[in-house]
Amino acid sequence: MESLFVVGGNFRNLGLGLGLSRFGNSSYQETQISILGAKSYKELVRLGISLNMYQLSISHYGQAQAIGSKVSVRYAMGTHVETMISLLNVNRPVIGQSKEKLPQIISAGILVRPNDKIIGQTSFVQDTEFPISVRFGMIYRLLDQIDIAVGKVQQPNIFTTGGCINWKEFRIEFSCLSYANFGFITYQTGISYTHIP
Amino acid sequence: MRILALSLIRLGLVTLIFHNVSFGQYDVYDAFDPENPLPESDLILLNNAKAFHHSLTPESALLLSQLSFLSHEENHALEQTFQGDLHNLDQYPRLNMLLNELWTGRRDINIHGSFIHRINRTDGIQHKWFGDFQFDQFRIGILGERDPGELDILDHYSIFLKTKFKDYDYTIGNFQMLVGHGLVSWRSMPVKSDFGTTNSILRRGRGIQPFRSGHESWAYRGLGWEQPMGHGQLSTGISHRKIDGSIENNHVNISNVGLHVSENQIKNHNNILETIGVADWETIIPNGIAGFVVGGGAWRQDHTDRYFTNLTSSVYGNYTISNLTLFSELAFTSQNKNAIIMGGKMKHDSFYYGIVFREIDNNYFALRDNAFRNWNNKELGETGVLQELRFRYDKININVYSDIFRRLAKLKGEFKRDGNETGISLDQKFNSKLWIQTKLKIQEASSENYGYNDNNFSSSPISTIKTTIKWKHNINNSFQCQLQEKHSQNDSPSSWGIQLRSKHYLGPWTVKWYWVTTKIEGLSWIYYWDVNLPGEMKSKVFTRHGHYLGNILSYQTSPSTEIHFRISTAWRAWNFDEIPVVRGALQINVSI
Repeated sequence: MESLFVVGGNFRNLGLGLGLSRFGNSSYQETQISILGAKSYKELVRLGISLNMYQLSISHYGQAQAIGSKVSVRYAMGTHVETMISLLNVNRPVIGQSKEKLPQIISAGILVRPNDKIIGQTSFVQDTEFPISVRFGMIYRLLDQIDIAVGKVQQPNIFTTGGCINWKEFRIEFSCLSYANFGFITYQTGISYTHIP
Repeated sequence: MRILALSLIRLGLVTLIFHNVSFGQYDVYDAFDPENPLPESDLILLNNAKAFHHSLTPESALLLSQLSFLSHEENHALEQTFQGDLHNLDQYPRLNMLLNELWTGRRDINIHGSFIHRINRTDGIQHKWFGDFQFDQFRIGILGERDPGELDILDHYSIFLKTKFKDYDYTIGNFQMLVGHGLVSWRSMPVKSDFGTTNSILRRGRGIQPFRSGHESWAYRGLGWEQPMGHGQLSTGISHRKIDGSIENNHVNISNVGLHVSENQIKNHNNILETIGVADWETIIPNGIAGFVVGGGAWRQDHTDRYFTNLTSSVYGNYTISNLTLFSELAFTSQNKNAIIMGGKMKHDSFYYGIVFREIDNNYFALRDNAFRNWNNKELGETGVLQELRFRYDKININVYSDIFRRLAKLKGEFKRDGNETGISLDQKFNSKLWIQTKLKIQEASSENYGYNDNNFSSSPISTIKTTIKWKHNINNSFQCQLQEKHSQNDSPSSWGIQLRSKHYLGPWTVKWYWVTTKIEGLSWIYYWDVNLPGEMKSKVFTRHGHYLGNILSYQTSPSTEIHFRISTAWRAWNFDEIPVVRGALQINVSI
């Protein structure tokens, strides 16, 4: 079970936010608290930085903490194309007495909007200890309030499908991930509220 | 005459089989030998020049003047052009070609920064980031790299900040110092014998420059500044950093590899702590320039008790009398090692003659010396004379060079002590569409080929003949064909290679095709420039019969942003009866 909560706002042209995510069960628990900051330059570049505090708790073994980071840049390459890059844990954090290295991940992607109804994306996700993962996805606006999405992840082999409902300032998302090699399916749901004064 | 006749026959053969093809990212680079790679900083400089500037201005000329391969005359022409003293660059075909390639079309947006992310799939995935940003009087450059298999997301990074305050130029972070002719402090890439080499050797260094290359241990890291002093200019650098390498008896071996994957490589990462101080004072004298360099360094190697210090100094200068320019640099170190490089050049209309003599002691080591020499092995020293002649006969440009060299110390085994290298090049531009060049190069020097299983020594003279035809069909479509033949002069059969390239502009799209077929005999391996993304200059060595297909697809999403995608397929069997090796790359160029 994994859960994620994020709240954010705008302060003096700076985007600021706070995030909390939890993963695990009663005997193994990962918690992450993030402080988020974002800045836009000429509506061309959006820079985001997050400071993450990781906490790991294992029953009968105790707990350990580490401080990590994430740097993301999103760039508008024209009216129809955007690109992004992010580096997770570029500060090389380690955790526990054994100083185990936390994952370092490079992500890069291209997002294409050929028209108002379709968004397509290709991304490359590289955990430095694993082979690169190539991901494709597409969102189609079926109606003004309803979007549907499909995707494919290579490494591991996952097919994804989902959709979202836009109602006033709320957005409800749901998706399912089908792991082709393992033969099981997982589900994700999300709800977000956006208010622009 | 025999050589000329042979060349013409082969030229005819090439013409018969010529179908398709293209140019590299910058045509000017095609003239260089793929066996002698060029500094990465040159490619980054060209990318920056293209991204930041629209035409030749004082700022862009200053940037271009840092290119390693430009001759003194070409640099001078750049300065004269932006001062308004020179309006026609027809006498400088390389500059003309370069400027036309850099700034075709007009762009009316101001650029304050450029950034490149390259994902390159070879045996693993390499990520590389380059950035260059200008904020008022500050220029900031960043470079990051994660090689295949490396666990650290940012295994190597380099940052510099350059600014000017009154008469002082400051560079903080990673910088290089190019002084004299390379006997004390120079680029990470040495100059090698080739056509046009005397141009690069005769050009003295231009002091402190930001370090833009991916070499992980070559840059100075600290503070460098330039200021007027007395009747001259003082350039000073202070550096304190960790590098990869090893300390030997009387020198430091700086690692050129930069890969940190194996246990040993990780253990030896940043294993030497280095502190360096170096200063250069240069002044103008009647008809020339004189300079004096002094520097010193201390190195300490981790996990050992090895410690090394070295002091070095050099004097250099040049002197011009009419069409003749003489130059020299003489260097000494506290290890009692000396080196000298001297020569001259004479130019009259299309006639050019250059001569360079060098003698570099065995185990000569200064701080970041990388002077012109033929052998990479520094332990045995080297002396030699390089001569180059260029002239125009009717419509044909002729270039001949000859380099004779000798080791100062004798090594037991198969390595010969003497070597020589000779080359002749003929090129003619028939009209605005057709250009043909033929090069013959003969090398006789003991060399070592690094194979997968063992290292092979070769002492037989090797001849390489290369004919290139470029056809610019129209402004949107161009083609190139290159035929290469290489053989050892010990009655062994020849290796052959043919490369066909084409480049097509289709609105915002650009497509490049690339095909190579090779027939390889023995160790006569053939080198071609690989299919390169903007900012790359990789060569590819062909060691077996086979075929190679490459393609680059580029899309210009806006006037200042581009996406490039490359895919290549190599069959290492003549009859295609092998699973091909597929490689790919993605590069995103953006500007702000």
